[in-house]
Amino acid sequence: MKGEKAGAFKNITELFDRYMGVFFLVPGIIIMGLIIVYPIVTNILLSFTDAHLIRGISKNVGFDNYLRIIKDPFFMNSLYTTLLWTVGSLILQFSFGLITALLLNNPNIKAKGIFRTLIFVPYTLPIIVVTILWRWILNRFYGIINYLLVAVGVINNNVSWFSSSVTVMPSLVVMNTWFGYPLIALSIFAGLQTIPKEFYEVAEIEGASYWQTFIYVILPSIKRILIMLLILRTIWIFNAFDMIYLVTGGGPNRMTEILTIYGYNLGWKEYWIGRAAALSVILFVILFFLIIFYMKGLKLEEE
Amino acid sequence: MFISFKRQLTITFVYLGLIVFVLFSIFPVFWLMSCSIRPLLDLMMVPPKIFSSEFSLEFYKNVLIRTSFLKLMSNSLLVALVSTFISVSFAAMCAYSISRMKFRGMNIASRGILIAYMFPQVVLIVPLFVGLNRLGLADTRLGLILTHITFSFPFAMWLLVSFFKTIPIEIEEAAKVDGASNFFVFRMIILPLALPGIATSAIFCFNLSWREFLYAFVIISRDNLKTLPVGLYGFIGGEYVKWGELMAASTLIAIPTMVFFLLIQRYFISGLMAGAVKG
Repeated sequence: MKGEKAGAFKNITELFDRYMGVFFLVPGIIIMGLIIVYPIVTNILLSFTDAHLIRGISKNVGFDNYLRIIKDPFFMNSLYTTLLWTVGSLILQFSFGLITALLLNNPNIKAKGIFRTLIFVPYTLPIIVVTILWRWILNRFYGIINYLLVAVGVINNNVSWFSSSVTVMPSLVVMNTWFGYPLIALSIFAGLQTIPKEFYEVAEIEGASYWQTFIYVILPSIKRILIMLLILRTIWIFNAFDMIYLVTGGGPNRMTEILTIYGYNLGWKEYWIGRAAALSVILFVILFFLIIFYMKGLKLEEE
Repeated sequence: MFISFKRQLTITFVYLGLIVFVLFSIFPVFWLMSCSIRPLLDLMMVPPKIFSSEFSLEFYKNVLIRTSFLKLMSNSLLVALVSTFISVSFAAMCAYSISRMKFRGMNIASRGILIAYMFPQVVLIVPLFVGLNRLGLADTRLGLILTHITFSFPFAMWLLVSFFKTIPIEIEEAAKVDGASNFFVFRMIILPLALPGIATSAIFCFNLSWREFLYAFVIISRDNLKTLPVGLYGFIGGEYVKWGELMAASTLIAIPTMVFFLLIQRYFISGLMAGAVKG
């Protein structure tokens, strides 16, 4: 009797051991299902209902939520602000990042590690700290930027950077650039270091100018990293929420209300969970195309 | 003579350019920290002084004693530690399995991880909130921990799969020839070898949770359960903003994340490139 029990126990341990690889996957599959399948299904189901944060669901409304969003002028407005925010941030982050990486890559530069570490610091900060810091630096009365710009004579009076309709989006883009360019700089720098020294030597022997070396030697070598970074950063900047919400909340006058803030307001300010779900589905579709591009890029790299 | 002069000039310009970028990166952070250790009068001085002559820990004292900072910090710590522990344990198991899979299975799995990681929070928040509400976990720390696993788990997987792949399979085979069980191999051989990778992904997960804002903002509404970023956002509200205290609190939140990143900086970029680019 005792021996039988021990035998059964032994069988179970053996069974577990043989299929350990499969058992190990179970929690992961559950979590991934909860992250990927459950939200998509729930969003789609909710998007056809009149789900309300307080009143709950009472009926199906068909495509009403989608039609309302598409007809909403504020939705079009948020598409426009998202475009400004994403394109502006990408251009500045990549220009700053590329220049920094090229400077760091100069073979005569010493103490690269120190430069690299110091440049990287902004990216380590939590977004809440980034936003508080920039609100303070750009503060209308006590901000150091206003003081410096007035002292140099660029502006005559202190500017209220985050509440004036002209300066608010550029200020946010500069803040985002400050936060994000270090990552791009260091990623490109990592790519630059894989270029063999001989390539540069050949270019020098051929009498190529720096510009020619850049176009014919450097750019082709880092093309793939640039494409990957561009797609990843597009997705991340497109999906940013707290960076803008914590500074302006989408204001003034909805001038910085990007799609994610628009969606947040639908659900958590106006309580229309159904509409927020419909917007999520729309975001999914946009994101889906971005991810397809990314996967295409991956394939390109594997070849 | 001319060439070397030209070269010298180039190097000078390159250094100047780098210094400009270093100042761009560092000055705001220097300003944050330097403002946090001034007396109130120096902080509100017009024109502002770059270097304050007086040193004061008044703001830190106020933050630690007069605000709920310590309570917020303990909430953040709890959420970050528990979600990290769960994510990294499960991710280590899964990543080991995936890294030993045949090519096709691995490809599908790593694409799945990548997609999960790219899902924006704003898209996930409605289903997560609705789900937690049904389970009765809205406005609880356990609920928040579960939402944090949704981003820290894929990230840990991402890092660990590429890390496990670097451990040669021959080591395992040798042990198995000697009669070791699969679990023994995993527990006694693989885990110790993977310890640096596991530590790195734990640091990452902790950091991601520590800085997270949106989920904590939506899921938690009771003041005594809030985390640091949300609590700090609450400090800004009101007519009169206490900038000094905000600077001090920001510095306190930022220090652990800065130290963590600088510790694993080298691994961060290579991990990012290996994970993000190679999928």
